[in-house]
Amino acid sequence: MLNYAFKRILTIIPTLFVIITLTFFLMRIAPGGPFDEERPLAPSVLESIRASYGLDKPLIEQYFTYMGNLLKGDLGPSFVYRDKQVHEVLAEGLPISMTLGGTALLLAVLIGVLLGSLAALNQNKKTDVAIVTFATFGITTPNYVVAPILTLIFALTFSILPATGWGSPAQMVLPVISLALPQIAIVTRLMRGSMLEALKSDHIRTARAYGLPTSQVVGRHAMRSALLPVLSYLGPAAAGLMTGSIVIEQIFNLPGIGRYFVTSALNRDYTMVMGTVIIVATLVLVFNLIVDLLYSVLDPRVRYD
Amino acid sequence: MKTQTPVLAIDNLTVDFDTPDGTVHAVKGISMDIAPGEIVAIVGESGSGKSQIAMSTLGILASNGRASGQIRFKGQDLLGLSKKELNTIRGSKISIIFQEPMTSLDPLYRVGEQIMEPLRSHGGYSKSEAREKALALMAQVQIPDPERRFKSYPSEMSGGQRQRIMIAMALTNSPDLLIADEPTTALDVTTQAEILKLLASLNKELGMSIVFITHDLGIVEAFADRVYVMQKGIVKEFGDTQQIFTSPKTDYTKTLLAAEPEGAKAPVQDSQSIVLKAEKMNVTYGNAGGFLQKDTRFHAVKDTSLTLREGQTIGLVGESGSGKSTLGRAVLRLTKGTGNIVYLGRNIDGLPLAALKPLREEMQMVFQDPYGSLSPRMTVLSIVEEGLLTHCPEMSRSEREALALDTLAKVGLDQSVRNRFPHEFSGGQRQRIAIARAMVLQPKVVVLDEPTSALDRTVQKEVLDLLRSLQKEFGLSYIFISHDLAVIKVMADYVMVMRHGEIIEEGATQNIFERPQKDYTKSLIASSFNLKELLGGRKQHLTL
Repeated sequence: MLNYAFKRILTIIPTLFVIITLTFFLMRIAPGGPFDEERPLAPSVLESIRASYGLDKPLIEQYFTYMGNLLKGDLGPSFVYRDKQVHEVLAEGLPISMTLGGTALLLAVLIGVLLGSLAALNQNKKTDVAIVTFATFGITTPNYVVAPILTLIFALTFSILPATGWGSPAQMVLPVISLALPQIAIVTRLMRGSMLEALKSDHIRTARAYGLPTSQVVGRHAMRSALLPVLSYLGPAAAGLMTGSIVIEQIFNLPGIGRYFVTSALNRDYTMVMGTVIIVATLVLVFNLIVDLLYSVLDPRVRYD
Repeated sequence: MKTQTPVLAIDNLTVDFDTPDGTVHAVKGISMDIAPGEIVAIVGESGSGKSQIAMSTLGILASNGRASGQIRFKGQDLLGLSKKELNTIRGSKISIIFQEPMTSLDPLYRVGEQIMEPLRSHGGYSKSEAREKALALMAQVQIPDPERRFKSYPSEMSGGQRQRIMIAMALTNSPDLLIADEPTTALDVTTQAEILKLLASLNKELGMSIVFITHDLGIVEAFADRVYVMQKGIVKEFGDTQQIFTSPKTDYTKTLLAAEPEGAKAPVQDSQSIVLKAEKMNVTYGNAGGFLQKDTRFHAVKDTSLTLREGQTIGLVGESGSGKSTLGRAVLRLTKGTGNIVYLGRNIDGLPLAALKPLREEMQMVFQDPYGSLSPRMTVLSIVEEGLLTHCPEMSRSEREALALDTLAKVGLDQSVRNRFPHEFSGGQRQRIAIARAMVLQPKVVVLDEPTSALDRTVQKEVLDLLRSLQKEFGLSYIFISHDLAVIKVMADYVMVMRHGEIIEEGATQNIFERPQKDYTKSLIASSFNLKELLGGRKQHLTL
């Protein structure tokens, strides 16, 4: 399997290369540029700014310059946050987004798996109905509705938790819950479905027929089969959570990187767009690899040799 | 025997299932008892409720099922027990093996660990003791190299080995009673014989009672001391095996016994014209491998040739994986292969698929699973006339319908079924529909791929009779693929025995069955027809 993991890591490099190249040129095809403002700059000023960022050179030359710098780990200067390098901006925000996303992911898996299993074990009973109702609510309610309501209740009415900001654990609670809720709901539904399927399988009948305690029948046998579909979902979901959410960051005033995805694209902040794309692509590729490797650990029939 | 306290005494057991269409009465007040050391067979066709007796005994009925009455294990009523109390009995004093050893074992755990589980939870074994015991059990059920096999996953084992693992699991806590629910139905005949031999020896050595649930009378006669015959949820007849087989009392038992395939097919003359001739057929599955890829090639059919004459039935026998179905498909060019195929003097191996289309009308196929191979959303009439739409576009709607209905009548289905859907029919009726679909095109060659394997014996007999009469009426040539030698013996006039993709022996049916040359053919025949001798000694036990 190590061999397989190594091969997969090797394939990440060309994939990233293709993504970066495509993004680079697509971004330039889009009309407008980083220095277009409501009141246009004087042509001579614009020329000199463009020249100082190297934007006056032929596109292909710019591409090679960018790739050369990238290999050295230099993502270039931001065109909009003029005194900052892209890597500085991202280095400030990424740890915050990853902490938030990671915590939300952990919650989603723990609670989702637990609720989903509980629902399946009590199929069509009150517990099941309650959990499914909760999950439907969680999936259908957008987080820009959930977040303000949570703020209203816990911060403004009862003043138990801070409404905004970043730094203390208490400040994490509300954003993490807002971020995790839809994921909890999705994992719950997935888990319920796959657990129901697993409980119906022949080998579970065998385990029951052999008088194994329920904890073992469910916890050891059914759980392992039921986790497989959930695991497939978690790869892309993890990448999405880790890269932050502009909605949550705006509502709770958090300095994460989620907002750059939107603002940098709108501002044609070429280098910043490239930086965010590289982060998302890398995370997606890495999490998919992790999921695939975990899959083969859980299911011995999947072997990568 | 009657004076001993029975191990299991079932009294007036009823099993009902609540379904959206109302309550289904699967078992209707049956009683039976099993003495210590006895092998009791419960025989019946699908839907007779025989398996539900086993499920009720172990408390593993489907969630919509209810059992009432009494099931007493050594005097203790199992139906009244809580789950926890039941857990002290099932898996330790009563154990079970199921029909499908692949799905009955957890695919995600090593087989050794699965044998250890009941030891750990019932026997109070420590981890290392359980491991020792599991290895000993694996040796006892004749798994070669237990140390290595201990670490295998079910998917890495053959069907027979998996069933041995199930048996090892069943033996973990030296049960008083083993329930075997169709334990050999999914296995090849030679493997079946080995498993039965193993069970018989375990019964003798350990004195463990066995309830053997099956539809196969051949096994019952060779294996059981006493028999209960079930039909539609009631016990029709019971008694000593010999008595049931020699002097059955009820008509149903007589029908069951008479349902064993019979008759013979007369050989065709060499003067009959050759319909289909295939030479040097080769079929390979998988990839040759390459960069980052493994070589997955598998030679399914190797250099085989066959010649089919008009009115002939070639029986293609072999165990699962022998390549018989692949060969059947390859000669009709439904599977990609290489080799020379001549159909009615025309070379068809090089023909592009489009050019082959007009010939498809004359070359039909009937598959094993009549449920899976009929579209669930088409009515019977549209299923049967679909082929006509393609091959006889000039026919008018009324002509087409008339022909389809006529064909349905020929396979014994009434006109009134025309607007019904496949799920509304029984297995046998569905197979009739599948046959009608092939026959409506008036084919010359029909490849029958295990056409009766999913059917009960009594239904099988009807389908075989139907195939015979159709062959006679239309001068059809069949390639009859089956693992069931009893069927091949009566249906084919020429037999080809396949193993590992090769024809290892072929000849006229009578020659093959009376004077087999190869050891493999001999063991196939012995496993199919001489189970009694293979299991030897059971009958002495009976006289005790």
